[in-house]
Amino acid sequence: MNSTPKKQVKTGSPSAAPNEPRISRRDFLKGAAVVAGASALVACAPAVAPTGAPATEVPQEWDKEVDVVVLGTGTASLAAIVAADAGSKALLLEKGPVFGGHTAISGGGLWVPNNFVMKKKDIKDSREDALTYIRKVSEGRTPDELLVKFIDTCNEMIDYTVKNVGIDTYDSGTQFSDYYPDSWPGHSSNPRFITPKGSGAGLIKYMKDAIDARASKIEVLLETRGLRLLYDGDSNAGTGQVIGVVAQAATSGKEMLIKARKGVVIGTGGFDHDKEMSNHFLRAPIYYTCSAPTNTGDGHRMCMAVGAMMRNMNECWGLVAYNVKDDLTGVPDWSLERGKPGTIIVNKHGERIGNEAAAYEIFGRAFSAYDTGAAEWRNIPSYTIFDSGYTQHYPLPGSGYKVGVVPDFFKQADTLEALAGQLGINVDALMATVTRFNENARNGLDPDWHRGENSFESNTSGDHERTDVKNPNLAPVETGPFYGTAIWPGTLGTNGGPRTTVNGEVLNVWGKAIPRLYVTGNTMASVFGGQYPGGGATLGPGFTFSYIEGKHVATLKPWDAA
Amino acid sequence: MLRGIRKFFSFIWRNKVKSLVVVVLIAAIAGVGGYQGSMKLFHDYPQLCELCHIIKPYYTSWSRSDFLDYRHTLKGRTVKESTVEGFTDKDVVCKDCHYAPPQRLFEELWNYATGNYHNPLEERRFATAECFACHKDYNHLITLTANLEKKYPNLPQPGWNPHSSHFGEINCRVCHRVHRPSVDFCSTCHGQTMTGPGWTQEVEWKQQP
Repeated sequence: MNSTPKKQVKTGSPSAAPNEPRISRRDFLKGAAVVAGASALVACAPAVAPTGAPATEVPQEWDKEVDVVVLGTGTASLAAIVAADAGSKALLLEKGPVFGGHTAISGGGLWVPNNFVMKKKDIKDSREDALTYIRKVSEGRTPDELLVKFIDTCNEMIDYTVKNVGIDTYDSGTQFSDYYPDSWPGHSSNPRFITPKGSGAGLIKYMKDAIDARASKIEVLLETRGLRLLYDGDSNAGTGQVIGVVAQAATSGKEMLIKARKGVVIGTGGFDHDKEMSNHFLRAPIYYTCSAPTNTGDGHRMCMAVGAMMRNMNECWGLVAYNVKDDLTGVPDWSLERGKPGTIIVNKHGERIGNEAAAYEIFGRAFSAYDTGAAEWRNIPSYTIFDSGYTQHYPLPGSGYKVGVVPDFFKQADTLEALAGQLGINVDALMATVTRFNENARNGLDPDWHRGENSFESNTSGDHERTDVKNPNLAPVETGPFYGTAIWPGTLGTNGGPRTTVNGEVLNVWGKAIPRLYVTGNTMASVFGGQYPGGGATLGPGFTFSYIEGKHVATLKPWDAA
Repeated sequence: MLRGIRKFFSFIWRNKVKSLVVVVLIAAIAGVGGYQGSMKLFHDYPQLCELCHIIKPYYTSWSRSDFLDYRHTLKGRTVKESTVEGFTDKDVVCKDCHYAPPQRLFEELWNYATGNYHNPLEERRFATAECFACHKDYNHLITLTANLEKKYPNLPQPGWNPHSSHFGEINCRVCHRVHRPSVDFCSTCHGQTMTGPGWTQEVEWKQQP
């Protein structure tokens, strides 16, 4: 390779044919469509043609040179802020047209045990309890050192966002406390998450304002996606390092070579919206996701291309939904509707599939049951039935939170038999199931699935104002008319990705850190394994590892330093 | 570069008469009033632009369409109320958005002659500052769209104001397009919101790889 006088590097996107003429930098001028839009200019790549040379060489010309390249503006935005505060120059790339990724449309909660809001409210918690709890939650999937690092850094991260990002409105509510049973060691029946004013949108506004205030140190490019990592060395042999990124302007397709003197932090979200990846990696099909449409596994592919150790790829944060469409949109049920008194969820065989009031992530797991006789997913779809005892008290999903409004995707009948016929549920089996369910529900009991026995259910969807029910989550389903609709499995995010060191550096398949490459948020293999300990379980570790990585990458010596 | 020069002159030679007319025209227009004067000419007679520039579809939609190019000519009237009679009521013309310094003229001539362009034209990504040159700022826009219920029956709730969203002050171009239907970005998650002529629910960021 050294015999090649002028080192060149492949910049071609996967779709670009080798002999396709490169788009000239004057292309955008044609005809009268001129002027402004000058931001498009930054996307011009230098004249480097695909020559078949390996992609491991150092380009001679760069379009941009910075210390740290951060891909994604969700949780990863904190990495840019922390790195900039530590004296590095950062470039933040966002594929979407708006800032904030999935975080911007989230609830904005961060699962941070033993946090200062809990202390202020005199809620007892400890480092040891939290560690004990997540050791059980993560089912042995996560190296203990990562769990310890998370627990020991999360409050330091919160402290940083209060002092340096200016988040002064952290608070907690009463709903969405830890999702797993109260009997689990270290479990907290009070929420361990805190959220700033304005939920995810508010959280991102704080981040955006902090970045704007650091305009001389952090540049932001919207509608620009990371395409490939530039790697100098032999990733198969585990030698070499990441030296930059090939990015692409999403609108024009123009590519640019960005030098990352210190490192690259990838926080491009999950792969929910990449049908190929979700079909092949996830344990069961998904029909819905609330994740940002930009979450198409870009960061996962970039890391796989340099040999990253992928973990938890079969897992997702489950979120069930009604009225699902081909584009994975629908009406999610965060357990606030299905968990209230007067509902039952059955499959087409008339069997209950689980505890209707369980947290979304846990309830989603019920849909991966496989029918080994009929050779099909036994619980996909299932059907949620609401009786009139429900509808006179609470709004139906998709009604715009209006009691009495019945969305058009619901079937409606005066008797359960008739509704079962309309929905295609085995009538006799359903009647037997409901008879048993109602007998127990009248006594406030659910011996089959333990609905309403845990604090999560009680404080999230439970109705404590009703005196006519013995269990705040449970009432017989017996008053017509009845309303029913199909319920489908989906995600609020995938949680598999590269495994990292405690500093957030990506490990390769042999277990060795890939120098200068970091992942965070839903791009990294979650420290919680496949399970969701409680509200804020994506953003908590996401922001914590972004903080750790921003600090770590800033300490590195630039690779091009003399 | 050499090949470009050869291409350029070969093009000129093949289009001797047309080239001569263009040169004379440019000289004549520039001669009458200089650059400022010719800009005034193109303001008063925007149909002149189409003589040389490859903009027929955009000129057509600017003349009458449901898109923002035509709506920019209505001075507050609705599309229905407007009757197009000549160009007297056209207050935003081509050059108001597509302003170019004089040297751009030669760059474009060069690109045209050497074939260095796409047809149809690539969509120009306008900057938010261009809009705010006339439309003030976000606070102003929020007041303008405070009561959209009557016009857009599909809004998720009364008082829905797309300019006052959880995303804050995003770029105008995220939703608004000029020579084509604008994009109902909110529909990504909230179902159809902005419906009717001039809007589409084909949100690009949902179609990216």
